[in-house]
Amino acid sequence: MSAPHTIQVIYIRGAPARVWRALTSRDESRKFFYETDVQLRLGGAFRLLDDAGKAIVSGEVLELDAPHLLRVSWRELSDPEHKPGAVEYRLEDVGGSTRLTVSNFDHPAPSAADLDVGRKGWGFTLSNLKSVLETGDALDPPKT
Amino acid sequence: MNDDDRVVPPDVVYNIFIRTTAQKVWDALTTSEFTTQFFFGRTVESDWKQGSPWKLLFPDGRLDVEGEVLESAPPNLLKVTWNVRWLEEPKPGPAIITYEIQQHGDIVQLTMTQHTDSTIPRKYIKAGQMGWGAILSSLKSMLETGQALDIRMEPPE
Repeated sequence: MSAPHTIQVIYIRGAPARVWRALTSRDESRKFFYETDVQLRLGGAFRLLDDAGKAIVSGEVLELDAPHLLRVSWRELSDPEHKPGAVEYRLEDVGGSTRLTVSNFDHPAPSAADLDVGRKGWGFTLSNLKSVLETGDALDPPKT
Repeated sequence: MNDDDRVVPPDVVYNIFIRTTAQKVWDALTTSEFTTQFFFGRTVESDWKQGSPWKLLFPDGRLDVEGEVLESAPPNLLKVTWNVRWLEEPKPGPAIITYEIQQHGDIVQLTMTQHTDSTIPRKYIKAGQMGWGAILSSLKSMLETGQALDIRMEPPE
């Protein structure tokens, strides 16, 4: 697979296992992102659900090494033309904190405008995850 | 291609969202009282006025980075040139670092952009992305929890 078009890095206080649980549990993921419904085995189903419980992204588990690596295929269901890409979550212990690297793969790569929207979106999601784990409270989405 | 090859790196753009005020983010970026907490112990020196020099110093006082303030509109915009003083020869030309600080309700969106037109060894690209992630994550922890992150960083290989 080609190189990722977007790489986002955030450092979060706490061990990789704690961050992993937030990313992969339905109850925790919806506090900072969409509800994530993933069967943690190779080939297992992966879905993101909106507030109404409707799937907006679907895919399957391509690589798995809990709590350090999860790679899933990623199809945006709102766009029937969307060719599935992939998203990889990598979690590393950096001395009491976790470095979480999220890489996005799409072929062809999104337009510059879509890349900008995507980067801000992931920037907010990862900031929100960090706030939830470090302070217990999610962020209000900025109205832009 | 190896990691010592020199390339013009793509811009690094980092968006982070912090529950705080724009003024607190500005103060954190421009005051040693705060930079020593989240910027790996470094201090800063400048009056942060357009055209003024600025410096980033290691904890032992050695010079790390210096440059000029290109634009300054506290607490929303700071744009500086960034010359790393310890890189091996040939030293790259300056990078330009821009901090945009926007308040949205009780959240601040901080966008850091690093741009350069000159080449650097390839090995520094990933290190730069990881480094900015660590610094700005630590800044967020400091402002939201009162405590910066303690992160173990390895130098570029």
